[in-house]
Amino acid sequence: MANLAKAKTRDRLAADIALTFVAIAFVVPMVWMVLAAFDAEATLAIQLPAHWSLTNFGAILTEDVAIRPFMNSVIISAGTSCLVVILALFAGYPLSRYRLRYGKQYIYTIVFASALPITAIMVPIYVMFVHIGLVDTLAGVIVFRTAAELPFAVWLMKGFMDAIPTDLEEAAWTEGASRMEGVAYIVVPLLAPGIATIFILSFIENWGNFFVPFILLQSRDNYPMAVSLYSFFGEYGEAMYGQLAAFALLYTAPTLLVYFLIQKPLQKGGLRLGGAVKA
Amino acid sequence: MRIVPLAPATLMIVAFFLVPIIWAIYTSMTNLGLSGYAARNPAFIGFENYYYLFTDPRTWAALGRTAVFVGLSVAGQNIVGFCIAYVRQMATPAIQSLASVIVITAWVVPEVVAGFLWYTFLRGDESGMNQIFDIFGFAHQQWLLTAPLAAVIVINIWRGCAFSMLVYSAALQDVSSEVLEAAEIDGAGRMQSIFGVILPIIRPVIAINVVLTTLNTLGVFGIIWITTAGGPGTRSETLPLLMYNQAYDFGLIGYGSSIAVLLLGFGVIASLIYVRLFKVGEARNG
Repeated sequence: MANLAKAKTRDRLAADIALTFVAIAFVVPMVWMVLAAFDAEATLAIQLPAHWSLTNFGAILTEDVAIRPFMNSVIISAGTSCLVVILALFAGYPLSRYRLRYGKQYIYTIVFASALPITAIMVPIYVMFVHIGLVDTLAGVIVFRTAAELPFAVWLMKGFMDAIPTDLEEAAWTEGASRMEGVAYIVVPLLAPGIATIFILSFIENWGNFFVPFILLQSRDNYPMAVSLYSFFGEYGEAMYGQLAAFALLYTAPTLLVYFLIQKPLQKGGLRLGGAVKA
Repeated sequence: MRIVPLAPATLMIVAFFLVPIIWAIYTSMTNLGLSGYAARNPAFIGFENYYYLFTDPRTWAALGRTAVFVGLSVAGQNIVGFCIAYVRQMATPAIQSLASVIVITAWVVPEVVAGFLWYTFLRGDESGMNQIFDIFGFAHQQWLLTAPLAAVIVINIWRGCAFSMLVYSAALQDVSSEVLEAAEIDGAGRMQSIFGVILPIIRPVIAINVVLTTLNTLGVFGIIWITTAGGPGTRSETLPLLMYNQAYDFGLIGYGSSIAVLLLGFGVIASLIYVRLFKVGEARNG
């Protein structure tokens, strides 16, 4: 037994050392951003600021540089996530509650669609949007992002609904409630954690997405954070590292905040396999 | 009536998935341009774009790079992800969560920020990486210029590991400790227990995760675009970047669409395998 205990301690020590090494390797490329953001004289090197300051943040927090893009990102991400949740709620209900003739095939089709690389359809989407006048509009980005998120969201929503027993609804019907009332007063409240999960997953995905707005938007006034960080980088990248880092940090903060708030329920729900969370 | 609520979502999916795919196939058979005469009056040219596509060495080079990029990224993410998940089980809780938070942060950080972080980390003599090399007395490196494809693969592995780690952590929890103890009593060493017991048990998870990471890697554009822009020259140009360059830099929307169709073809094959595995998993879990 003593040997076994010793072996366990040795394993733990080896594991701790290995994980510490992994942690360092993963964190090193990120350190620069955090330090440079608070250093008015930042260079490319990783260094502690001689004077910690908020100068960089002050410089970028103007209407044109960071505030408008931040608001555009909020509009795109929140707008898309709301639409996704509402449409997925509608679609998930019949898929979960009725025995539809092609229900299974429908699910397989959306699972298939949810896995396709969106990158590949951006050229035709661009041409389509030029024709219907949706190019260079936030509405266009929202509409397409919604469509891109929907297959996965509908599938998730159906799963969450399946977990809610039907007895409660049935009891409400015998009391004279209609189907709509059953959904509104019984299903939706019970579904709240699932709805929140879908909303937040979609929000993070849209907040971080670069390619779709990069292709569909042309005027600077419409840029979300992703695209304006990219163009800021192209224009001033070689000179204003500190401001760039501050901008990147400002852009990253909401995602991290939201993600670590919901990490626990996510790990329990979404990532059990075959759960197919997009990377 | 019962399927009416399905209509809006279905319409959206048809309008923005099915229609563009058909449109891409049609456009790839025209000489549609981004601007000018060919933008207003595209002509139907049959398979001419595909002829040029498959006779252009640049396409084959991009295809090869895409295979290397996807293959090594997927292998790296799955192997490193599994190793972290496996080692994590044995570590002290505090170190466990610290490492998880850091690895997950690399995954949650927006794509542009990830690209930008690595650009600053690797670029120039005073970059973070060369600072570290100074400590160990190594010669300075400019990997974005000298080994651009390897660099973007490393960046992509760094970014994608967390997903595989989470998936494999969940899978490892489902491997019963009795089976592992039985193997240990039978005298199986660590490697034997990993390769002889654990991996066979979680094989379905490995299969589905490999396909999923492949699908996610196939469409990667942002981090390559921001760190190397496909260069120097075309040395890190994968299919998505080739598509973008042809369609927007050269204004050849028709030709770009033929590359989109090619990329989509790979996506469809991988996605069909994914659905297949998904069905198998569903049947197993009842």
